Amino acid sequence: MALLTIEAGLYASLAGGTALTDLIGGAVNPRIYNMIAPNVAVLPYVIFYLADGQIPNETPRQDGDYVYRVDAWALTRTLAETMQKKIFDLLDRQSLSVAGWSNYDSKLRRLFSEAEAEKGVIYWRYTGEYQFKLALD
Amino acid sequence: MMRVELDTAYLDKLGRGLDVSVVLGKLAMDCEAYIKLNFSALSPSPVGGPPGVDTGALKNSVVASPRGADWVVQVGAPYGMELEYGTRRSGARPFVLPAVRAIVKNAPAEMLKIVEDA
Repeated sequence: MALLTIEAGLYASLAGGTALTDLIGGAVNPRIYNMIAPNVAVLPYVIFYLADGQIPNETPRQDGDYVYRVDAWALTRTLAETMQKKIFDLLDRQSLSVAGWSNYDSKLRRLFSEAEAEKGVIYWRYTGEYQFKLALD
Repeated sequence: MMRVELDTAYLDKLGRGLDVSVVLGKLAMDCEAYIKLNFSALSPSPVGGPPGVDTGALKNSVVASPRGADWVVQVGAPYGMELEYGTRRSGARPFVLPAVRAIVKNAPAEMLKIVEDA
């Protein structure tokens, strides 16, 4: 299972939605990062990372069951929530394009939000946990 | 010619006698054990993997305990959530979700059915 291929597919899905990219720097260089944002990253932005991956090995066909967390970070809760709604539209029950694999199931499993305070500034995060199931073509 | 006959009546009887809180307790304690056995050998650990062990405070704070009819796996260390989900400045080191998913995935179907039916 090529994780980087899945993550490329996930990035492409997120970066392909202008309703989202309009909020995070535009379609050319959207502020979407894997794992962690660079120190110089300007809010708002999106971070995605693998939270858990399982290889069920229940059928002869190779398959994978992954949960990715997609964080929408912004300076207001409203904006973070709006971003997560756009992310939901792009990922929930939509197929990722992963070379050599079929993504037969994509679902939002859980949502939560939290705030982080630093030097008097409140940073809002709205996170979605998305589950993707794939099988080798 | 040999004939083998398996009588599962006793096993079936045992299964019927399982109380949901016993099953939840087993799943919760397995979850606690999974978390504790899967901390990283590196400290600080790489982003994306489970946290490492420095003082052992986080590891020791993971406790499965009954709460009424339910069971809870609690991470007592105040920075547990920051490690699980990351912060704006530090990447996530998920260690709870992988445990929950692994335990549920590997639990016998009969046990999960008892929980679902409760």
